[in-house]
Amino acid sequence: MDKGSFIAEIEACSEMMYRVAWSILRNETDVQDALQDATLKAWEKRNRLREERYFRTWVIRILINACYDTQRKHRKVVPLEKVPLQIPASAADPELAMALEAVPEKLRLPLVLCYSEGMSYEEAAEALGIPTATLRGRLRRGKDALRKELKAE
Amino acid sequence: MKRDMEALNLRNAFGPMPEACRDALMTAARSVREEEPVKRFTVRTALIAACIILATIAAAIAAGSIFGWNDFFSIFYGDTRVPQAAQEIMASAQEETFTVGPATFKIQERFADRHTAMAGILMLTVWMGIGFNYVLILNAFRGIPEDVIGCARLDGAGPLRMLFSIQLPLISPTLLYVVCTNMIQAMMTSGPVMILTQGGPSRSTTTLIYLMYTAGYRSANYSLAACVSLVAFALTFGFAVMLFWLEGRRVTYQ
Repeated sequence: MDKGSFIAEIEACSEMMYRVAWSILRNETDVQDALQDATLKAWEKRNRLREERYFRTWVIRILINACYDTQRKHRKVVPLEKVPLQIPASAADPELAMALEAVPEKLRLPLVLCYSEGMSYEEAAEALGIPTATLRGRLRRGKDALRKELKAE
Repeated sequence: MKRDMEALNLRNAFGPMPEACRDALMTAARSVREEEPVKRFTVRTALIAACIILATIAAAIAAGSIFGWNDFFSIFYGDTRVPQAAQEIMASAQEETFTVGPATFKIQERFADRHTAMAGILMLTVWMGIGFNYVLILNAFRGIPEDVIGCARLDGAGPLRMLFSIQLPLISPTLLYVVCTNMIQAMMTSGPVMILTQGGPSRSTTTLIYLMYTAGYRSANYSLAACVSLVAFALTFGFAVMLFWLEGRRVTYQ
């Protein structure tokens, strides 16, 4: 993979990467950090990507790990629970955004990958590094949790 | 308020990507360099490997040279008898070669000569210890905070200065543990001796513990065995004390 096609691929994925990173970190500075880390790491490890059509899944997996790294780094400074929930001011549907944030992260990521980013079950399972059956279970529980949150509001 | 789940579009939970984020991402993507080699083998990996091997070998050699007694006993016991088990192994494996890590040798050459037999035992014990030490030291290196490394690099520390002034002091508690346990383990070496050489040839591989075992259980010379065990204890204890004295001076905890 050469530099040109790498930049093009990243550009094509940028919106998706942003949404995934946001749904984990909920903080714009952290998201920027994680995006940059993930991009550089992806370039370093570019020979691990066997087929270019899996770029999307692969880069998301790297991004999720980068997000957890960022989170871990910052946990030393401020406990995450004390960080006030942030809603992107520009969300088209703030109520849905609030409900989604209240869903536990383990269930939130599958929801985002499958229903917002339109990944197939197989792709999302690959990106999260879990079996497809587990993913289906989490999706179902995630939907239940989201429904409950929406009703509560 | 009840909402229809089916009509939801999850993407509406997110705003559009802020310009700052897009800038950050694309700057990173454009900053990659084509000629930058794909990372496979890093300096740090080599460093870790070197540390492990050096620590293990140093411990084993120090203990081996103290406990090997190479030519000491041959003055008193002039026998050049090769133990029977070793003879049988050699007869059955005349030309067979053995591989211990990176080295290949003929068992004939290695264990039948009294000058190299101890080296053979040492190679074996070092090779057996590397795996566990690798886990410990690797973990210590990974535990060094990135910030510290970053700060040192910013202050212009080269790789050598980094190693001796930052990395080694930071992993010194682990190094102490590795050296201490290896030292004591190497001093207690007796298994390979029993299996491979039975103390021979010419008693060149008789370690203290093996001597204790043969004196006590084979020759029923209990007074010698008791004496040897006390000496072994004193030496091991001495080393432990010395290492813990070093701990007070050289080992830093964060």
